Amino acid sequence: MFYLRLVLVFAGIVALVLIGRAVLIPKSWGEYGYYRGGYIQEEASRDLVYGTNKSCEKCHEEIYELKAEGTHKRLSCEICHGPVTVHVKDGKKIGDMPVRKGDKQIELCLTCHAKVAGRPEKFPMIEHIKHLEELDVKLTHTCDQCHTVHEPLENMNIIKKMHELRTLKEEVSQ
Amino acid sequence: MKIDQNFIDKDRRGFIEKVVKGSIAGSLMLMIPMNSKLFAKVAGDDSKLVSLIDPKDKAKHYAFMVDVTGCIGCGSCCVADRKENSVPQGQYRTWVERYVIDIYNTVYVDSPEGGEKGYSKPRTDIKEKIKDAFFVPKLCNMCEEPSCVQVCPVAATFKSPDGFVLVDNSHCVACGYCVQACPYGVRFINNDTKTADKCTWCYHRISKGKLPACVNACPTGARKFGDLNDPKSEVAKIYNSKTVLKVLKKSLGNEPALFYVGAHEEVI
Ligand code: HEC
Ligand code: HEC
Ligand code: HEC
Ligand code: HEC
Repeated sequence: MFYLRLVLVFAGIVALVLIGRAVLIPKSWGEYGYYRGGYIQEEASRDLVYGTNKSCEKCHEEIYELKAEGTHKRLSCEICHGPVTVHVKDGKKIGDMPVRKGDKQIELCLTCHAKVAGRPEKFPMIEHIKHLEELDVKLTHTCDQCHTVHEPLENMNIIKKMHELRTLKEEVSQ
Repeated sequence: MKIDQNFIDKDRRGFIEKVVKGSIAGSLMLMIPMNSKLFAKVAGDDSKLVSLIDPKDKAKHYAFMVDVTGCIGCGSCCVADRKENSVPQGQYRTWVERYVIDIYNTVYVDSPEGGEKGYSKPRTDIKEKIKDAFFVPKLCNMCEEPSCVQVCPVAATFKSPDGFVLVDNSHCVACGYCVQACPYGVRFINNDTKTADKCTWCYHRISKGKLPACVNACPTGARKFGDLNDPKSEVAKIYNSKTVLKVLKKSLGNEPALFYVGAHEEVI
């Protein structure tokens, strides 16, 4: 009698454990190892926020091509603007992309181009004020008054020529 | 345990409930040693993978490389990472450190706001003459032998068969052991989800054939990602060349899959 009860209690514990396991252990537990395998798929199917430069090509072909062949070819459009998913959904424009003008633009260009110790020497860097002084322009000039933002070397020959002509004119008139 | 997939609960009681449930589930599962094959059968049909990826694919050997000589410290990677992975302000899945070494070989390291705003101003507090300076981006090392996985009491963090260390946040009880255990300091308790979080090398992007957000954002190609078993990939070419590669804290034996190109010995 005593043994029967002991066996019953024991069976009860085993049953509880088995039910507990069935209820508490997630479905895909152990699929690949000692963890919930289904999570891998959940993580993998999370939506993207950023696209690639290719995501802009269809609608902004001209800029895409200008940039793709220029000195800024390695830059991601979305770094200077913003993630594509706030701008386009299902092939339609759904929101504005930030376009940096004025001081915001100077700040943007300088995050990469300011001369700071630690940046590789081969990288093109400028000292903001000095750069503008050397070109004899007002210190309020924004970068895009000379550089095409999507291909900053595009009009450089013209700009340089203009600067030369101006210095020449000043020399002549003196 | 019933799992709410989008479990984002800031309420305290819910959190405690989750801890209790989680630890009970954990201890019950430990009562009988688990055989993963057996459980795959129990798991049934709905756990079938429908995806571009096959986590069992061991033919690929993913690696991440950071070329310290190419990094300009612009912080574009950090900006992209925060948006791509909805990382709360003040927390970082990846960050960029600035190393400055003076002529007496004193090493100064700083990382204001994780380098996210870009290093467009020089350090002004160093009195001595500067000998060398460079930027070092940091992110998850995707260790072959991850310490964080070993310490997790509820098996919420694990290494997938294709080599990615991930955190199942519906299972995490936020005990913080993994945050302590990671020798590279890449883990944190996410202020929004209240669970452990860390860089995944953008597993959701690479599984759809896209580069990680930070690699896509890097203007100089200092960050590289690819498959070491694919001889055409840039990382494989570097790996198989004479280039000296460095892993952080090698002596710990974690065997990271994150390699540094051109990193000085001062980098830790
Ligand atoms: C270096 C940062 C940078 C990159 C990279 C960049 N842009 Fe821009 N973009 C700007 C700035 C700054 C402006 C504002 C231009 C101005 O006012 O001169 C702008 C303006 C624009 C405009 C508005 C055009 C107009 O004339 O009003 C479009 C559209 C645009 N960009 C698309 C793109 C696309 C597409 C790419 C990628 C192929 C790209 N941008 C890459 C900085 C950038
Ligand atoms: C489905 C087409 C489409 C795609 C894809 C697209 N755009 Fe646009 N974009 C538009 C339209 C339409 C406008 C508004 C028309 C205009 O002013 O030229 C616009 C305007 C812009 C502007 C000016 C500011 C504004 O919001 O009006 C910028 C900057 C811009 N896009 C950047 C981008 C970048 C960067 C990408 C890629 C990541 C991109 N766009 C992808 C359709 C698109
Ligand atoms: C995300 C970083 C980044 C930003 C922001 C950025 N650039 Fe650049 N820029 C680069 C890179 C990278 C190159 C290519 C450098 C190289 O060829 O080694 C480059 C090249 C240039 C060059 C050519 C330098 C030369 O002599 O080869 C100019 C000029 C330039 N950028 C101007 C600008 C201007 C103006 C802006 C703001 C609209 C800007 N850049 C914003 C990264 C950036
Ligand atoms: C008045 C016109 C003008 C303005 C405004 C201007 N630049 Fe320039 N920039 C030039 C010229 C001209 C060059 C020389 C190009 C060359 O040598 O081929 C140049 C060269 C550069 C270079 C390459 C330097 C190098 O050493 O290779 C960078 C980077 C640059 N500019 C960034 C900027 C940024 C950022 C701004 C905005 C803060 C800016 N520029 C504003 C005219 C201008």
